[in-house]
Amino acid sequence: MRIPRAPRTALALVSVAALTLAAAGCAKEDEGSEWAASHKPTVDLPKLDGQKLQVAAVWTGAEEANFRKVLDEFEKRTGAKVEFVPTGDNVATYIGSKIEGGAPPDVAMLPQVGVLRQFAKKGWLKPLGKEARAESAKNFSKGWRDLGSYDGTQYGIYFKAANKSLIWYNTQAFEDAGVGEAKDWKSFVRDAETLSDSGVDPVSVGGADGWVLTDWFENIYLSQAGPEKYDQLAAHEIKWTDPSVTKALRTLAQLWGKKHLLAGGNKGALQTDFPKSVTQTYGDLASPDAALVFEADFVGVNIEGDTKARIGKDAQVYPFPKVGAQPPVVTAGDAAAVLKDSKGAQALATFLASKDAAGIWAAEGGFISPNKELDLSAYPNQPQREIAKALIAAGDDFRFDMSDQAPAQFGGTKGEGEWKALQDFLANPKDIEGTQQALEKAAAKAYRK
Amino acid sequence: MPTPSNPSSGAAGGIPEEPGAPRTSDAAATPDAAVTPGAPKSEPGAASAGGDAAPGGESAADGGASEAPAAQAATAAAPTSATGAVPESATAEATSPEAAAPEAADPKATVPEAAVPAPAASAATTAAKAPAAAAESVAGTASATAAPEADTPAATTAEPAEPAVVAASATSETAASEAPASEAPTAEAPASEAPGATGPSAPKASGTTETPAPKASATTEAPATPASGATGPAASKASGTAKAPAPGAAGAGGGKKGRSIAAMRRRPWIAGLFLLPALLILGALVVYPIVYSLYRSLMNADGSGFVGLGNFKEVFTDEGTLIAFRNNLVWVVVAPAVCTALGLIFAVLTERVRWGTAFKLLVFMPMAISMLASGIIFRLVYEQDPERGMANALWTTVHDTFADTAPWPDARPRTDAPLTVTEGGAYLTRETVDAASPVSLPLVGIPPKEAAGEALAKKPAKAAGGKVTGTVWLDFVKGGRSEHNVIDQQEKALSGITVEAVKDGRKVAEATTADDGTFTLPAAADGAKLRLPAANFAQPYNGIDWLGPALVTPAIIGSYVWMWAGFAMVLIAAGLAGVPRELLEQARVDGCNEWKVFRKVTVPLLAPVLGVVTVTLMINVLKIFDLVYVISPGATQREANVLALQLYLKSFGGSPDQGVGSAIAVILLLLVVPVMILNIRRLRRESRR
Repeated sequence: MRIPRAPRTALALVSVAALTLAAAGCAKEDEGSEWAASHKPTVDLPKLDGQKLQVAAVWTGAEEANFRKVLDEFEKRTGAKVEFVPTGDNVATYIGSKIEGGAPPDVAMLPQVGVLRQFAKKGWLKPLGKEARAESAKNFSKGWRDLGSYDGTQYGIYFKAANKSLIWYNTQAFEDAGVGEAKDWKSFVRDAETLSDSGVDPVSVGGADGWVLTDWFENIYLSQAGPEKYDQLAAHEIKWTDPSVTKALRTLAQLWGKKHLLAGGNKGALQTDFPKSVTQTYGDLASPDAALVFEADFVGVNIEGDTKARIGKDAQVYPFPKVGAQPPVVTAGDAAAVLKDSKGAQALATFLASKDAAGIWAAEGGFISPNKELDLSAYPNQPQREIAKALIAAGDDFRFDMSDQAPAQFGGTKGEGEWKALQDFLANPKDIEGTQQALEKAAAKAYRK
Repeated sequence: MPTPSNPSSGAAGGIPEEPGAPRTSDAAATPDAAVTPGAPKSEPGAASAGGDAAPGGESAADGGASEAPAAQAATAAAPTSATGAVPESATAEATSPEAAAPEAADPKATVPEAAVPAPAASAATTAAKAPAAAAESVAGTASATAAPEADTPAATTAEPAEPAVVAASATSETAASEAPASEAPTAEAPASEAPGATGPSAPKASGTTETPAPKASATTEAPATPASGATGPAASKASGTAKAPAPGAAGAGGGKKGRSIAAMRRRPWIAGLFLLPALLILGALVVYPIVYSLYRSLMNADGSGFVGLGNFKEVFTDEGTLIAFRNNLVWVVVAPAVCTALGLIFAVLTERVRWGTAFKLLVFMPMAISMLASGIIFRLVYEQDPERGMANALWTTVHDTFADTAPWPDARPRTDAPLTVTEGGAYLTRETVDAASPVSLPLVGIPPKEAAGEALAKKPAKAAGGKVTGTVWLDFVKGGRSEHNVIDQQEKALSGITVEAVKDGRKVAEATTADDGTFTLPAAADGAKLRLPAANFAQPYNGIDWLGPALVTPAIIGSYVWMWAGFAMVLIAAGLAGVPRELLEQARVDGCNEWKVFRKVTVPLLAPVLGVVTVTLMINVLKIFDLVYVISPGATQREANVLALQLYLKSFGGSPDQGVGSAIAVILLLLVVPVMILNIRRLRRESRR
């Protein structure tokens, strides 16, 4: 194709202009978060021009993109270059092999408290610097700081938390049945009966994933037996054959023991994995397969990703009802830990401890920060705010997910230990004693090592 | 001269550098001149020839006989130019270049047969130095012979044709000049090996095959020619270095089996030198991992301490691993047997139908899918929900054709309702009923949309004559604000429900509810208890729990059979093709029916093939991993576990312990070894036959 000269020049000019505009447009979008732009920095960071950092975390997809925004802000303020490395599912193995290979990332986000302690014990983690500790002391309650510590030294900053004590419900199903948010376990079970009467299966349990079941147990146990017993059981100082465990399982059986209270019955629940447990609650909004699903705040991610339900309208959330004196707050979280002691790594840890960093991701959604200084208005919607409020309100009475604290063989392996024992319990909720025996046997073996 | 120029000039039109090639080769008397111009043309062809034949050439270095196929391949390709297809291989090869020779290789000699050998012989007599010349001269021939076939396609794409001619001409020479027929087969092997050895880029080829050169010089006859046929390219590349011709000669020398073996005996290090690279690779990739696994299996989880046989003890006491053992046993016994049996049936039956090939293709197709993909496919097939899982969709369809579905599968009484749930799932009134007051039978638990089309429930009219009346209805309205056990406004009737009157465990009367939920029982029902039989509320049949604890392993084996039955079928079909028809005919003539022929003749004749297939599948099955990992859901992964999966889970799963993992690996190896030995033994036995 031949184009005469003058028009050709014009064309070139136009396309250049268009490209510039497009580039400008993109640049605007990539500018970083609005939150960071509208809030003044509250933390001093050193100049790190030309430095390169590597951060490893389990996040992918939207979570990775949101975390990237946090890192972008850090890059902007310090001039350092930060590379994000996804670790895949098994963070401990990934980082372990990286360390043994002699090339650890500068900062890693460790998802399990057990891993953090194990790494600290091996000397793989570097203690937090002065600035990071100061920032952490300012923004985090003691409970969270202790969680990031080993032998009195603080190694980790809990940047992202999960509130694992939430009941997500289908608004329409609750309205049809005429039930509301339950405050205690008794009314929770009664509501479940009413829901069942109304013709909807009340509770969706993702029993194919063992961790969902351990979360059920932990919430009931924490509320019923109290934080001290919870800690003892987590450390296996009391046995799983303890009467308090019997009581908790018996409580659980009030729900799991009635086929019509579980979506799909006990058998169906065992075949339901976590994502399906959410979609069957919100997939068909007019006549759902289940009225409510229990799990952490990240249920919201599945609701937004897999269903048409809108959080706050079709999907609402309330805290896990209290079984004993206090409603439980079971949490999980990712702690930033420094693996290579450099100025850049410490500065990044400091930044992640600040509310500046927490606010950026909070504004994007799907994120709860244990940072008590972060204003609740940073969260994008009411349910998120409530989840965060419950987490902060628990003060130091929250407890970290017990199965995450246990040796992975017991608390984190498909088809073994606690996962398997509770799946068997879900299949046959009458067998409380057998379940306890199985739990104790597996625990004794796992903790002995 | 005119004959070769014809094709070559034809080529000249197409490929610019070619014209030089044949012409100079014709004028091969001036060796140097021949080398360089001949180079561009003959190089690609021979180089590719080398590339193709390289493996053959290598194996020939050890065995000699095994590379015959390469030479045959050459002849197979050659016949396009060869006219007379003489059955005997040696002559066939001899003829093919013959046919080519008159066209291309006149240059030196006039007799077509001698055409190629002639330069060869002359070259050979000049011994070690001569090869260079020979190389060139035959490089000429090679390219010349190649030309007729290679002129149309571009030089590089002519690969298949050219090696064929090169190899063929080489053999023909050995065969022709060496006259004795007995030698021919052995001589033919090295010939084809010659391009193999030299074809690849000069440095490497020369490096490996250099040493045997002296031997080649000792043999004064033909060897030089194959060498030349092959070295032409090498020379052209290495521009006529003394090294290049050597390998070709060496290849030919290798043909003298006895002598070379003697040479190997005299200098065993040569063999060692040849084997070294292979040994190094084998050592690094096979021996070292095995030894390290053995060592690792005696160490603890992080490899820091020695635990002796502790890991093995753990393996044999761990319940999960024992389940894996049991499952592996089931797998090894069932899967290969079923695959082989199905394969045999398919093979025998498809042999008799016209569309057999299409059927075979279909059955074999799953082999083309990765284990992972077929795992995902079967995960979906076995899905519990009949709306999603194909297996259950089929099964429930069949089932529901023969069984009635209940009108109100989800309905149940409230705990405070005047109904109790009996053991069999029927609902029975707490009190006896009487004709004086209508009976209320409230039920709940029906999804609103299912009852949406029902009429409103009504209180029954008081029936005369001592009849018992009542209503069955859905005791729930939207919002849950209705009073329990009372027919409120807007509450829906449940029609089509069977109501039985029971006295002392015996049914005395029966009725079905009308559209408004009412029913009327005869006077006999007075004073009886009313029962709503379980058939009214039976859950819809939900199919088989394929991936439940009991069926998960058989289900996964099923998917394996789906994949591998085709493999068994193809192998068995190949074996079947080799079964002499006469024997089957004989049996039929002797009065055997087809089943007997199959059982007494076909199967025994196929026994070796069946053995191979079964043993191969056994080895394969012992290592099964992907299917189990993908198909088994979390809740039943333990019940579906096999050793390879357990090895992975122990080594890299939740609580990695590579000591135990290595112990499982060692055990797995020990389990495979007997099967391997069996296989090797049979192979030996068969090769001896």
